[in-house]
Amino acid sequence: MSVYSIAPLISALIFIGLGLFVLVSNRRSLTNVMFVLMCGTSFGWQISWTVLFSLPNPTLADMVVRIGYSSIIFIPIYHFHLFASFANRVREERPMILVSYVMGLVFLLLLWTTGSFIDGHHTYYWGYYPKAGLLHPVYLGLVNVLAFRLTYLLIIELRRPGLPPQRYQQVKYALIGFLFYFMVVSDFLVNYGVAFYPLGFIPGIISFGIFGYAIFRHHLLDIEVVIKRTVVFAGLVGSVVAVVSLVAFVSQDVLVHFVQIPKWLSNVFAAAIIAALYGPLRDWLTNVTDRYLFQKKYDYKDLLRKFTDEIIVGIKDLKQLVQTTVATLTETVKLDSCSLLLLNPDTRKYELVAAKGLNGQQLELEEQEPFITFLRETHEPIGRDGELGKVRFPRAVTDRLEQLRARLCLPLHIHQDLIGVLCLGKKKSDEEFTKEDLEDLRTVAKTLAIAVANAQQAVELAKTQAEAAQKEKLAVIGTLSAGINHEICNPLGIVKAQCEAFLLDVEDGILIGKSAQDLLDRTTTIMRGALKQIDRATAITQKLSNFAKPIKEATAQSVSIVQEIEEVLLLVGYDLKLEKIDVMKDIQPDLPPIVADRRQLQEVLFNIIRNAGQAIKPPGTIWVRAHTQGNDQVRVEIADTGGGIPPDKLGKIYDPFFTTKEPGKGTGLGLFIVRQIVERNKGRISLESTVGKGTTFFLDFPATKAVPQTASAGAS
Amino acid sequence: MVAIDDEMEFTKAIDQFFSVRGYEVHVALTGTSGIELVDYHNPDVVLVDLKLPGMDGDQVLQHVRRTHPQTKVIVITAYNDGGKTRDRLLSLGAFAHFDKPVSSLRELAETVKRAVTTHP
Repeated sequence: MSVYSIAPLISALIFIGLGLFVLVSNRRSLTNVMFVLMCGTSFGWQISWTVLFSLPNPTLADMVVRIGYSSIIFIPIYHFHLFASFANRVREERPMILVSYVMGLVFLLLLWTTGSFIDGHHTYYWGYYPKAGLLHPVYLGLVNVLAFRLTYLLIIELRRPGLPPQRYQQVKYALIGFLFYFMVVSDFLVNYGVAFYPLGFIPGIISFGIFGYAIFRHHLLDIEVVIKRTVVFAGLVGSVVAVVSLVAFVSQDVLVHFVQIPKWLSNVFAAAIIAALYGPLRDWLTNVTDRYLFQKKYDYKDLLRKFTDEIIVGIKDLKQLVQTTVATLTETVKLDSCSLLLLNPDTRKYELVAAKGLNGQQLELEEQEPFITFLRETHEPIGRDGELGKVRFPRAVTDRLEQLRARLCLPLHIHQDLIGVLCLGKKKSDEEFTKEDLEDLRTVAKTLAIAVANAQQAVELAKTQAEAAQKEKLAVIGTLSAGINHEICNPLGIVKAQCEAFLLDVEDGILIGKSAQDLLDRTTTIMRGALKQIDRATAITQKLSNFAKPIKEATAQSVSIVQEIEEVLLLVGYDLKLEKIDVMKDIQPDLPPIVADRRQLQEVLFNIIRNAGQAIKPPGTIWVRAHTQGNDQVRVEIADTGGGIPPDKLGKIYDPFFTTKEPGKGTGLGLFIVRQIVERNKGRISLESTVGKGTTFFLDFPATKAVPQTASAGAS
Repeated sequence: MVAIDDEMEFTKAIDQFFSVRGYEVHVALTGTSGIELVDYHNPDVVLVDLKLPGMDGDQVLQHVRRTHPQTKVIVITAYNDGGKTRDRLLSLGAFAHFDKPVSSLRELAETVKRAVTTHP
């Protein structure tokens, strides 16, 4: 064999190796099939050249050239088909694929019947090589069209928004791998008489190296389970052979000098050793492959730990917590399905609160059913794998597993109370849950139980706080009675006075002798006045009841600060006026709106302005200023000329139940609630205070560019 | 008479009602301007709302009692505190006290008439 045949031989072996490897894996996937075909044709090309470069005379050269080229023709076509399938574009690219296959067949026909595609061979210093015929450039054209289209497809896929990181890596390596493979076209120059040893195998091997790496590391093709099983299988077979030979060697060759052992006995002995070693060895091999070959993908134990430490403990919102838990477990452990049942304390039923892979089914389990009772009483998981699979559960339990598509269900306990059940479905790899898995998942379940309990408490707390906020609001409204009374009683008084005056005028005969027109004018004036006053009283009662209603669900909307300030001043303004407190406004025109809950914003402004009023020993002034701050903030300042807050009390003013007011004037929850509301609406609250001069509160909210809600929409 | 109330519509109604009954009525919307009218016209009766921005009904009452002892002051309040305010105002020298909304214009008219005809 010629030395020039070594390079093509090595690459041929690499191509066929990778091809066979993928072949034994998932044959159903089009991408895998095309990859195998690509490997096969690349092998055909290189193995033919191995033979071609070592031919002693030209008699067989043309034949070998044709065999080799039969493979080469289809390499770019399979490439294109492979990546079109990989990029999920087979349907769109179907015409291109069809045309290229037809052209490939035409070239194949030309190759074997005429000399128009390949016209015999060149003779170079390293051996024979195909010679390009007249139509060969047409083939090169096809190669280039396919290559550019393919590169385009992969780049489009790479830039697709929302591409998952893993997929991004896959596409990246596929593209790099392909670009290397494309360098192989340099070999075509040799067809045209360039006497340069064809080095195309180098980028070819590099490209397959990249594919191989991407297959292992980035799950480029769907074969990881096969790899793992192959390694485990090879390890087991190897160990069986090793044990048998070792035992045979020891018993037949070494011990023979001391004692005669029959061959059957040594075989029995070997079988015993194998039987004893098999289980632990299999586990060990599985672990080793997990750890070394699939470190990134299968090292979910680390991920689980991280998940336990950061996510579960970090999320305070119950809904988000359960959703994230189910999503992360599905993703990390690679599950077909995963779900979470939580006890609803009101109905005493276990409700399905989050699920993946359960097709959105609804489920409620009774407290007394066997599935729940078992988990609650034993604190043990229910499962179908490993040791757990040996426990014989009644139908009622296994039916539930079936329904939840679960292979493993872990109880979530807080002391003796079963607060929920975490259910994990089958692993995508078809592997069972191992003992080690179970240990890790138990830890997850324990942490999850605590996190869920905390989040549930937070929900309760929020409810209590909302109630407290409502009480505070009503308490503050109580202090407004004078102003509100005035705003309601005055209009009533006016209407009454006007009507009564008219009737008394009639009674006293004052209207005698008046013209019809005069009387009409008089009554019209009274009616108009009455309507105006009724509207006025209605407006204030509406505002008040609107304000006093509990806020059940905060809705973020675009609101105009100016308008909300006006509304609040309507409620508190008259009271302040009576207390000899002037309210001065300095509001920047064209103030951008902010996004907040209107009524919560009113509550905040109301509380702060009311506080400012109470801080002032009359007479005094409250300044309400609003302006933009920087590019994207709106600042509201509410300044009073009150006594100021002593430095030692500044730190406490947001504490719940801290108050300096006389009993009955405030619950001490005002500022505590104000701060919570401000922060919930993405704002910040701060203050400056000088004893003897007054206090200024600053409210900063992010500005928006949206159009504010109109007054009429807000009043309802 | 001088009527002081920050509700313009109310003062208008009072003005019209008493004018057609032969009274010379001057109205003011604030305590301060009301006092000026009282000083200028020296009326027989002052009708004043207790709750007023700036100088309130209490102060008007005390000022009038001090500077115009012969002028009768009738105070109108929106307070419903079981007669406490009424007793206080009467002890301060108010001629009469009316709840707001004024329970009866007829009664008010009679009270004003009584105030004008009564001489201390």
